[in-house]
Amino acid sequence: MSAPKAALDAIVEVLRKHKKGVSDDVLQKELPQMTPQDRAKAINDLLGSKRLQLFHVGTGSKRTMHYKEITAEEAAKYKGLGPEETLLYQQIKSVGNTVDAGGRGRLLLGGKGWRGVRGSSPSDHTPLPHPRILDITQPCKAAHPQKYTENQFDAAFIDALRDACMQFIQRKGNTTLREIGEFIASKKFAKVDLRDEDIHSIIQTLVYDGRVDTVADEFDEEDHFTPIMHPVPPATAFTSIPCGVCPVFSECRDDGVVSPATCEYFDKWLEF
Amino acid sequence: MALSETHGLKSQWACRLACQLIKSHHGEITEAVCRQLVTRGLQTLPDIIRGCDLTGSQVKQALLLLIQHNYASVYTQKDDENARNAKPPVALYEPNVDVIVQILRRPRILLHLREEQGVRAEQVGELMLEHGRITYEQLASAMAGRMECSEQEARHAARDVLMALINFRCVERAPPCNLPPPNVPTHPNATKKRAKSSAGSAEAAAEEAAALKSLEELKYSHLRFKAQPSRARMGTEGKQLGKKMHPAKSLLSSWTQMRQQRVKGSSLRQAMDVLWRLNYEELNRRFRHACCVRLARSNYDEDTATVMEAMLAAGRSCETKLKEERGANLSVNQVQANVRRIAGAKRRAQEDKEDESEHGADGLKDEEQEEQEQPEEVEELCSKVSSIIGRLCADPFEPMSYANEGPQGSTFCVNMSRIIDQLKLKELEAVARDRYGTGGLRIFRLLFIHDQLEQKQVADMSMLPPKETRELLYRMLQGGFVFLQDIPKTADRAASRTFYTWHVEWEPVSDHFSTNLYRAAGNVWARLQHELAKNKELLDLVEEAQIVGQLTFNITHEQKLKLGALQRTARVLEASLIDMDEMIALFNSY
Repeated sequence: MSAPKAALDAIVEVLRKHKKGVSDDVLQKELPQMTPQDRAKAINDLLGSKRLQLFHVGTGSKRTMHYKEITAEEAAKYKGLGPEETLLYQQIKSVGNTVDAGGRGRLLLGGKGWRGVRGSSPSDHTPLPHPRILDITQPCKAAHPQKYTENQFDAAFIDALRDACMQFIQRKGNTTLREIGEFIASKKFAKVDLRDEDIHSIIQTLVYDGRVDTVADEFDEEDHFTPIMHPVPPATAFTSIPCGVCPVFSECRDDGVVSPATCEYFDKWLEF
Repeated sequence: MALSETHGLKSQWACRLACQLIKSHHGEITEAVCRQLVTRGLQTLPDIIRGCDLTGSQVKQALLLLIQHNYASVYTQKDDENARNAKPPVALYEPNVDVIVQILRRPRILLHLREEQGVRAEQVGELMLEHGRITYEQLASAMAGRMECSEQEARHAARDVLMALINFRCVERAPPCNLPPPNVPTHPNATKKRAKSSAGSAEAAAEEAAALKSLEELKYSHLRFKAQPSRARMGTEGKQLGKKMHPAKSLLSSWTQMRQQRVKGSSLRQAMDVLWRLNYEELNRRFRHACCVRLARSNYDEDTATVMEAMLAAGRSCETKLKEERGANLSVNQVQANVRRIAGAKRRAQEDKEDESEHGADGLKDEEQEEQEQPEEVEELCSKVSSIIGRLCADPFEPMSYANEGPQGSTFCVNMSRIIDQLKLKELEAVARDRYGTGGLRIFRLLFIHDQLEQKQVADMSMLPPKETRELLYRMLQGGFVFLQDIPKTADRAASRTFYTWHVEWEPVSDHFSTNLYRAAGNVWARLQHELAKNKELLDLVEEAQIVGQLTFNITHEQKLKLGALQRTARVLEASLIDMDEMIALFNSY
């Protein structure tokens, strides 16, 4: 049986007064007319409907349980989580994304795949990904905005490797995978040794970007890499006009809602 | 080409651009007739009149104007004279959408004529673009008006330039109206499959007859680049002088002479009445060659570009169609000779620019001297020709390749279509990058290289986050850059038991993009017309003042600012159209 609505509203009102959270003692003082049973029932209902958040304040014998109201925005994030997962989420949040390995395994079982928590491998390339909460601002995130992705690899680290490979190929003119591997190893970009396949995959992305050519050599069977001979032009006539990059280009008609005569992109382009 | 142009979507936007251009250059009536022609294709005069809600005389006037400017072609459809129920000949009209769209290419054409043949050639080109088809007499009198010199001098200048342009095939005779309509190939899917017609059957005879050129076509192709008809059979006078003849023979001879005189006179009259026009095919061929040379210059070096230019120029007269796959087969010695010739021509042009007064009188003599005395750098380049050709043949992209063994040793040819395809691919890659970012470019090239890949494979190989990869793939699918194929594992085609693979198909991607180019050019043109219409009152004011001849006229400060802004806007839009035309030419004409 659920608690009466009046009791729920009274507790929420008290919680709103104390934005940083209140302990059970404070609640008792603020709501003297409410019996402990009614209060417990109301708190459980609020926890069940993800309107209330539980957290601990203090350590050791001074550790007390506090309640805090959850905003609508926060509540959306807890949607689909069970009570245990909610607590784990709160724990990760409270410790600032440095959860211990014991909690990690359980969290991955329950939390991976959910949009609030993502696995990512840090730059020391340990096999087990660290659980992270996306909306927690981290100092490292500012420096490497693409560091943690769904792809489970470190994009910033890959980009750094790609740039290093590109510079090496440009400097050497014609080089092999072995030479590039030696260069990467000598520069100690990674704490662990990168395999040839990894470096080859990275160089292949440079090939797909149109920055590097793969050429076969008559004298050895190894693939050779050179800077691209026919580079992609820096600009085209088509994309220099608004139509070239217009998102509603396919809907543009002479007498339509979107038309060249009333086009805002043209207006901006022709503003001198 | 013919098949791709007949399908609706590609030509739809080209037709829209063509109609827009005709409307702004020749008015609404001509545009109505042009629209009827481009939407319905080859048709008779009554059909056109029925289709465009105009009077017969209006349609005739508009058609004449379109034919005069080469925007429409006339053919005569004749039944076999020996057939039992032969119908009288019928005139058919067909739009030349390509020629109409090339209105945007006019500045390039004039610039090319100026650079290759000089200022006079540019003037002749300008007159031909203005009049469409023009006789020598009309050209000479128009030149006299422009050159501000005596009519005799203008006549000489017009003749020299016209002859030079005909020799370079930049000018041709306008086709007669009695040519048969072109044989439009039907799509293979539109015809019923049947056994191949046996030799000697009536069907085989009909196929052979369709493949053969008609007499009129042969006659036109023979005379196309001839300034005057052959005099070989006319100049028989005096051949039989001194010979005593039988009176009957003498009578016959005098009668023959009189007849020949009459024929000669009429031939000369005919020669004077010949209508000349610019040969867009040859001009586009030259632009195509210039594209190849530009690629060689940007990707290799100046010497390679000169060698390629020499090879392309040497084989130009042998090319029978615009989209020729390969150039002529040339030996190293032939290439060296052409390099010398081109280097000499370039130096002469440079000297002509520096000193106009020395130009003209001893042109031929100078050319002969150039052949013998070449500066050291040209000889140095000639010595490098063999190595340059070897390097180009060894390049994996293969812009040049070994052809065969000729009398002068090994011969080589330029792979023009390969170069043009490379240029198209690079342009498409640049567009993919500008529209979808580096991720889009990476995915496009990845799929172009590896063909069919699943979404996860694309994400893994391109090292992009799956979410970003998915979004990019679907955006590129919408933009016509990539294609999705479903490969069901079971007959029920259930999505859970189906592979979905992504791939890039070169021809549809290229076709779709060329359509977009026409569409974008049409949009820019529409915007330009909108800007001009918006400021019509101001433009009318300026035009009125120009007609009256007022050098200074009163306009407010606000109007002055408005006029300045309009000029800048028009300049930007027109420059964009000229740039767009280069891309249109690359994806459609070359």
